[in-house]
Amino acid sequence: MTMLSRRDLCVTAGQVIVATSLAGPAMAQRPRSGVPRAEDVASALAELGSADLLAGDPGASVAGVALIADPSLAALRKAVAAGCSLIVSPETPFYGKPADPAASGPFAAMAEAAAKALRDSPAFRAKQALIAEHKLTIYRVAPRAEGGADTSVEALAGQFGWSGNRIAGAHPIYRPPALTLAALVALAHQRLGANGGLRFIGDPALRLSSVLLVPGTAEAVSTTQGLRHADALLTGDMREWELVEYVHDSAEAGFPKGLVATGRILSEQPFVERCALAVKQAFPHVKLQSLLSADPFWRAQA
Amino acid sequence: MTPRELVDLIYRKAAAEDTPPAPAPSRRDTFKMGDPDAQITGIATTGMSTFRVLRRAAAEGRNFIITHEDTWFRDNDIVDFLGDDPIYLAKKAFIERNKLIIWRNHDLAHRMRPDPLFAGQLRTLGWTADRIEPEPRMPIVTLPEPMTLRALARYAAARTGVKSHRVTGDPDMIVRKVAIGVGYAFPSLLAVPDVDAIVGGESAEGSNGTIPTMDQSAFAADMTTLGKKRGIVFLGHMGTEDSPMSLVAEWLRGFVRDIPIAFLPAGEPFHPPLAGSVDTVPAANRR
Repeated sequence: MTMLSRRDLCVTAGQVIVATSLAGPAMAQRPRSGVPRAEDVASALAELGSADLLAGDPGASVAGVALIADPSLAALRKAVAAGCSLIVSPETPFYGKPADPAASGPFAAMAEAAAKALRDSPAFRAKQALIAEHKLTIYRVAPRAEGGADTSVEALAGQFGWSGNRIAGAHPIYRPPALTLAALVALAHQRLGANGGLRFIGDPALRLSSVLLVPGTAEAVSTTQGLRHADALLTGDMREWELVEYVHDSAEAGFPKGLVATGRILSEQPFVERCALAVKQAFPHVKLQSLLSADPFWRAQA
Repeated sequence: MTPRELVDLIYRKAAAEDTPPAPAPSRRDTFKMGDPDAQITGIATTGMSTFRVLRRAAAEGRNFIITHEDTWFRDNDIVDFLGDDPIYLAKKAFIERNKLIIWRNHDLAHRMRPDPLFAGQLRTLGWTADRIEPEPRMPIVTLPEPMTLRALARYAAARTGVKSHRVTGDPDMIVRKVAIGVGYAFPSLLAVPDVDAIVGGESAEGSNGTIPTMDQSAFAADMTTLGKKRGIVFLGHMGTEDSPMSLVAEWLRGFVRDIPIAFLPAGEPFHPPLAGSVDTVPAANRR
């Protein structure tokens, strides 16, 4: 499998995205002509997931589309500079989901204060200004998950070259070629660009015959139940006082397992690339910018 | 003394030290395993009742474990999702075989003033808080000397012994004022706009769109892009709430006589980064 670089994934009109991670089930997107509206592009992603409008006009004509795993201010500026007016991301550019004061009971005042502080913050206002000035439309795309299959899982498996290696069952577990935990860590570094945000638990020499893939954030209950049937988990992010303890305890219990956490953004990157391919197939004439997000974390050497 | 009697004494002692009453009975701070009416042979405090901590406690003859975090891989410690999971069953059998008793001290500890987790983390980091904001828990520290974010990360990692820390922000930014977090209690850069950096445990990345979240790392990155540089050093959950449980052991020794009390560190669950597989040099202009 070819290692991906940022350059491989920056594409513009007339170019074809060439990335091995995009190998997978062909998406039957019939090319469409004319200038699409933002909502037309969003609908082209229906096979991969659902797109929710976060900002802008869904009926706006699209000058170009930017697909971004991490919709940071810097990434939005790059998208604007590249002539894109539609942003598609699996994340919100507004830092998460603020608490709803109406649903916060005794903490309503605190939730309202936090929401106001966010609205008044320089970063939020800068993003809003950029969106308004350049008439950006932003959609958040969530992967489609049906019957244990998840388009973001399939994309991540494809990134590792494991697309055909799914083990039958309720959980997204894949059979890798002969692999140790250390080799899986190295693979996450090479294929996903994980650096300072890359962490793992377990014996580096642990031999893995099955890996549970949970891109994004691994929820404690379902992930623990899936991990029971796998040698290791590869995920983006997780709460450290729940399934982290399960994996940490596994060796002492005599059933050693491994965990590799790449950071949420990087684990979602292959899904973003799948979305880019779908847009490209549906609108081959539209300018497309797929911005590969770098590891947002670094680690200070001792 | 039995665990039940000791827990009752702990609550009375905390109340006598002006700990606010709980708004509702804690669902976290309960006995997880064992007979609360057995006699205590020894006490171990820890950040997390991992299997390794339990083995050490049993080997040292300490049958009562006071843990800050959960035992059964889930915040509420409800085990219905585990069924006949072999890891769960092995840990459970070990606890039963060694007649260990486990009680969680999470919500009470965080209600105390000062909160021993924050106080302990400040002690580990060797800093004194200028103020607490927002009240009643989050300490703000003016560093004795300004330092770069890179130097701050090295300092915090060295003081806590955390090898798998993560950092976001410009490594060369100058940090003068720091907000301290522990565990998942993470300061918000929105609430303390005058701080340059956070030294905390863990904080949610992104959002699944269901639970209220704030991706502090993403916010710090955008502030940095705007020239209003902010940095975050993530020490991990056990990098911030394990060693502070030594304060709880010290506090217990003040009113529990004739029972040996020790802090048993859970330690960092993550393996140290492997040489050669991870580039630890921060990329310039990452964002």
